[in-house]
Amino acid sequence: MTLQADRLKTGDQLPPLVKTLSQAKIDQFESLSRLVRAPDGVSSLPSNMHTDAAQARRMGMTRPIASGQMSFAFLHELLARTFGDDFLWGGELTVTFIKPVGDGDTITVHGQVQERQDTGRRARFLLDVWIENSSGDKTATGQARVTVPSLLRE
Amino acid sequence: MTSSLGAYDKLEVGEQLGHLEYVVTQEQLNAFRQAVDFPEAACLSIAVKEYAEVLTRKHGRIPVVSAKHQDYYLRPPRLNKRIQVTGWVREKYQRRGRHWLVVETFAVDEDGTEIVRSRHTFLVRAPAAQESP
Repeated sequence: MTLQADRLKTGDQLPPLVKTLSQAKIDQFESLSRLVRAPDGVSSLPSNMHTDAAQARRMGMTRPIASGQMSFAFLHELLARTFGDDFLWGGELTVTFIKPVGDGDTITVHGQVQERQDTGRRARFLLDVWIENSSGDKTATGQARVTVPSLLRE
Repeated sequence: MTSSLGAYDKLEVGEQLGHLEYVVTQEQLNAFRQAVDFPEAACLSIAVKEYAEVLTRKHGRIPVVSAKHQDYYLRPPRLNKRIQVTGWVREKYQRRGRHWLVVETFAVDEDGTEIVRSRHTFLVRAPAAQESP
């Protein structure tokens, strides 16, 4: 999967991902935290600010919002698609959640190489990552570190 | 029943939080992949929200909003292996009149292989709301 990772250089942008959120997907994501806890394997939808309008209002939101972890998952995907197992073995991702996203929003997931250090046969990458909504506002920002090939797979 | 900030006030830096165990099944992985529209997604822990679960298991639901998350991946979780998650309070502080909480977790599988280390920063909300992420 690391089709181009070893060719990336400082300033290069990763191919962006575009995602459109729906309440059904948000609900499905929220149900996962219940599924792993349920001893009988039966999933249920938790009632929280991600799934319930009243709960969202109590938290100061105008509508249910996607969990920050959903945005995290999209940034994780961007890196996994680019770096493959080298990201899953030793990669690091840090994300700050800035603006909420929710049902019907289309977001674009970006990454750009900030630094590349070559040591022997390995390259260490530092990347800026971020998500923008359709208005061009950043909804999440962060950084990632990946070593290619991974140090942990040997 | 304590107020939300009462629950927050009870937390002590360094204290160990609740213990979480679960098995990664193909069914769960498929559901995760479908939810995020990524057929090769491997890290179910992102949706499990281990950091919130260990907090809730010890202190009940505290009204918080996620502000920041960090993962360091050591290896992808293996199917049908039991994952054990341990967490603790790393920091709590007040800044600009707001209360913040930092929880760290690490997850190992049943063979003792470390899977992921995480650090999550919560913004603690006003007592009116009674919800966790």
